[in-house]
Amino acid sequence: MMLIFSRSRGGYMFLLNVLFAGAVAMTTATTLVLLGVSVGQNSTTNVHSKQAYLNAQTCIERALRNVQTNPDYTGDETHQLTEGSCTLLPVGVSDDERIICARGEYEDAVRRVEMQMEVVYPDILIDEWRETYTFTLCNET
Amino acid sequence: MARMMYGMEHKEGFILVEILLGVALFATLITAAFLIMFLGESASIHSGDRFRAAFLAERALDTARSLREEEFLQLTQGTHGVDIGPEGTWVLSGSEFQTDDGYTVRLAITRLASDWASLQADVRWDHGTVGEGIVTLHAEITDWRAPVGEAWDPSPPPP
Repeated sequence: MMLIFSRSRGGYMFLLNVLFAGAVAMTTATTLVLLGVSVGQNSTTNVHSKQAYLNAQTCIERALRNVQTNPDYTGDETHQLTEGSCTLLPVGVSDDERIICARGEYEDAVRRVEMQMEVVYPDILIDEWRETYTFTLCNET
Repeated sequence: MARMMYGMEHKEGFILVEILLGVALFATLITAAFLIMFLGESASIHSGDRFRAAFLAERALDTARSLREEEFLQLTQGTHGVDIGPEGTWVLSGSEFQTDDGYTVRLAITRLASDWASLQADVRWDHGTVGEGIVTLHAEITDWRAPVGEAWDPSPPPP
């Protein structure tokens, strides 16, 4: 009777150990999966953010090209690009100075670039060209 | 006595079933745990690869900007590799560039006008059993350093 009880108890202990080890292993594995998914989202956001920044820069380049030939260029337009879009705010005009602000978007990422330039005929001189979280040279409505 | 023997045989059979069930349960748990761990590890590695690929794609686009600063005409239409030239500056080289760690970088330049180019940087890498990974970034650059048009000329028009 004692022998049967002892064997049965040993079996239960073994079963409990197996279940405990399994639970630890599953918890570790699940944590790793969640970590992997999180890092995956991070890398995707990184690529989207870079593309949004490049879109903003593309708009600035296009605006500079337009300003080069047309002193009356006013901006205020949205361009659909290969990946995402970019929006140019109205160009700020003061004599030979121009202020250009562009917002680049791709998926859920948004990046903003602003610049201030001056035309000293026949050259364009850049006073400022920077990325900002919110525009400081333009009003974004 | 016969009843006792039957009980013993019955008990041994029952123990065998218990052992088989225990081994099956253990094997299932361990296999599932390893499979999930492998998936998690694979996702982490793939993400790291994407970070590196995005960096390489950005570098290819920066190469084009660097060449634009020197001479816009250097941005010839076609698909190029990017490399460091003998003078230590970025140059377009061949049709693709292979890094030591297995990434293939291609920079496609499309001339939209004499002073305007569209760029596409593709970075591909072999991701083992999962297949090929790819990161693509697009941008445009212009030759805004060229002299501005005559409309900007401040000198009064000739009488």
